[in-house]
Amino acid sequence: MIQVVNMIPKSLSNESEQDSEPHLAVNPTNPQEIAASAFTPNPLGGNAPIYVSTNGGLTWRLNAIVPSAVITGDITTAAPGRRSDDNNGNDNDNGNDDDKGRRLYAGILKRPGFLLFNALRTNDFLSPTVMTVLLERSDEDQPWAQVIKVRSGPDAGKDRLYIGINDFNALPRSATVEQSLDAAVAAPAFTSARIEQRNTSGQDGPQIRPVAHRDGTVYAVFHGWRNRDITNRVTADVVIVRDDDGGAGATPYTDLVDANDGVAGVRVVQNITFTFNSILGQTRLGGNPSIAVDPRNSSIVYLAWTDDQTSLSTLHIRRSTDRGQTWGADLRTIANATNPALAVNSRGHVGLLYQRLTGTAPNERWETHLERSTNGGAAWGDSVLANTPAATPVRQFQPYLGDYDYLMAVGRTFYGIFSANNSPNRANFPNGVRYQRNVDFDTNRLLGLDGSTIIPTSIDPFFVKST
Amino acid sequence: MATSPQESTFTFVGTVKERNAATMAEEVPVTQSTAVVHVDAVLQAPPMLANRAGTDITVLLSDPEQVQEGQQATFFTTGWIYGEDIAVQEVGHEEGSVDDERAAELAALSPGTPENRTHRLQQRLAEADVVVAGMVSEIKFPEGYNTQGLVSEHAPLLREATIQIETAYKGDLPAEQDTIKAIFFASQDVRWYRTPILAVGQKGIFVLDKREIRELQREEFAALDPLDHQPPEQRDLIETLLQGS
Repeated sequence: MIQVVNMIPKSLSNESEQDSEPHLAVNPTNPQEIAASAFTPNPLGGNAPIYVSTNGGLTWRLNAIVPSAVITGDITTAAPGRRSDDNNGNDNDNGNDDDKGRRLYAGILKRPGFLLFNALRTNDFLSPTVMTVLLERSDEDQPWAQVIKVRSGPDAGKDRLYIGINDFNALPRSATVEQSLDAAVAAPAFTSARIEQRNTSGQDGPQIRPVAHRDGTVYAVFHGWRNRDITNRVTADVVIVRDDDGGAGATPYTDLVDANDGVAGVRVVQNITFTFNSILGQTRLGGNPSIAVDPRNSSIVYLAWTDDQTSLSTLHIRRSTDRGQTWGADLRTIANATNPALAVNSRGHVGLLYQRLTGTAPNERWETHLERSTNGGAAWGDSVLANTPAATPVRQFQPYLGDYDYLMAVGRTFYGIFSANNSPNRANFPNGVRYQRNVDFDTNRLLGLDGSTIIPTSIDPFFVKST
Repeated sequence: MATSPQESTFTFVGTVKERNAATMAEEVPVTQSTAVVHVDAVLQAPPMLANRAGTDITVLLSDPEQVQEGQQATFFTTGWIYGEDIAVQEVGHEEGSVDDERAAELAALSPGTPENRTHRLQQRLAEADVVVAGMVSEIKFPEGYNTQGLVSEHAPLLREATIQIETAYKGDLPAEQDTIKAIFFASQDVRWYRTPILAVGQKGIFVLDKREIRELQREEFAALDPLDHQPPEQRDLIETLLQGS
């Protein structure tokens, strides 16, 4: 069953902001509790908001607890849950469990400021307390937060926080994971793990995507930029690194060595090309890697990226069953697609969320797909979540849809988030849609808080749950 | 209690109906810091809350000990929770209602109103180092700007505009100076898209600051505030505002 929800609350029925670049964090202990983010400003000023839901994504509200003026420059979130999945309220987190299971971490670019990275934490994302700044650094780009609760062993109960980031303080090998292996303590220590071991064009791409497994395995994928010309045409390697001890060793992320050059970091594919900041259907492009690990077996890893091989943005999906050492051929190759997001559920089923441009101008459409495979990617079932006009609304800024969207799994259920044209037209949402803001489905119009004023179409975040 | 009208975006006179309560009980965590307040009069508000007088609203109090049920106060607030309804967060309050003069000052702060736009423009003109009317005659990369520098999706993308000066309203410009160069950002990224993106042939009033430009490691005039380009039809208003400052 698929459920799609427009996340704009009823009280913001008048809004017409470009709520792009969404991200999501489901409390793994209690999936009824979900936090999410987008480029949604605080309509009344003050701190930037996150979206929160306490009923599994059926309804949403904004909670303005992010210490950034009105909006962030980037934001991703991650929730560790409790050590046990019993949700019985027991304090079993080595004294760290003062969080009701609602602890939330975020990586943001703070405003005012430019590339001002903050790592944030709240012990209860439903509370009004403003998130605590754990770390602040300048000149770091596109934070991508992931966290995992250690379940056993001497570190049981600790939150291991991994934030992929493009660190311009570490040029020319800028791909970095900022990590704290005990992030729940009052003043967590962070280290900067440099994961690029090869020469670059002067920097790596902005997307550094870690993913952690409960057994201590941590993978990260990034674009190792090898060349860039004056038109921003990039030649890059898709590089995956791995650490088998949670990133704790003296030389983290060096457990996966490329068989061809003997250097840490397997080059899954070399010399892909794309033009950074080129435009597809009003939204900018940049490479879009995504990674997911099978929760049943950390040796099984899925990877996505885009290049301009056969279209402006061609999406590739591959799989490794030997901890990232070797990779098969493309499981899926999809033309004119962007924003891939991979996740694997507790049964080993893989989910793929992506957005694909179809049709010809001026009648192009953005299709948002959720594909699922129950057999390791050999066959996929496809659900179209949204099929919306690509030319309207006119872009307010970049990114139009987002430099990313997101998919994750808790148990058997997939939880995703994407941004799209918000016109309330049932034909645009083949699997149904629920709105909280005032709409008239008969006339396909958004209505203001008064129930009658017509509100212009804009970009909204949509939540999706697939069970 | 110290008030913070500069931070407030929704200021109203209200009467505390009930402490430890909320109008949106399912969406707001009710604590001793939450109160239901009846909005007696709106003093400063964006359009979405301009018609809120006569309704109840949930307020997260900054100090619940300072507020009693039945008490009337002027509440200075910002946004907190947006769900079925809106809950606001107090940044300060004053006993009772402010006087008429203060109320008028606060009304001028309401976002989205013509008064507020004029007020903000007046502030910006007062802060600026240079204000000129003219036309953009050339755009190029600033001298010393590394066009092959760091790549981020958020990069501001520096450009330098040459403005042919028609009238110099403010600033220590020599009488014979007929052009001025100004840095602007050409980026359409979410971080910068509200800053003016100038184009050759563009006319209007240009509001400039002399400031350190990090990427150039020197000071330059720059137009980086959303108000730093005003269309020609604003000329009379700007002349009036400059005369009054």
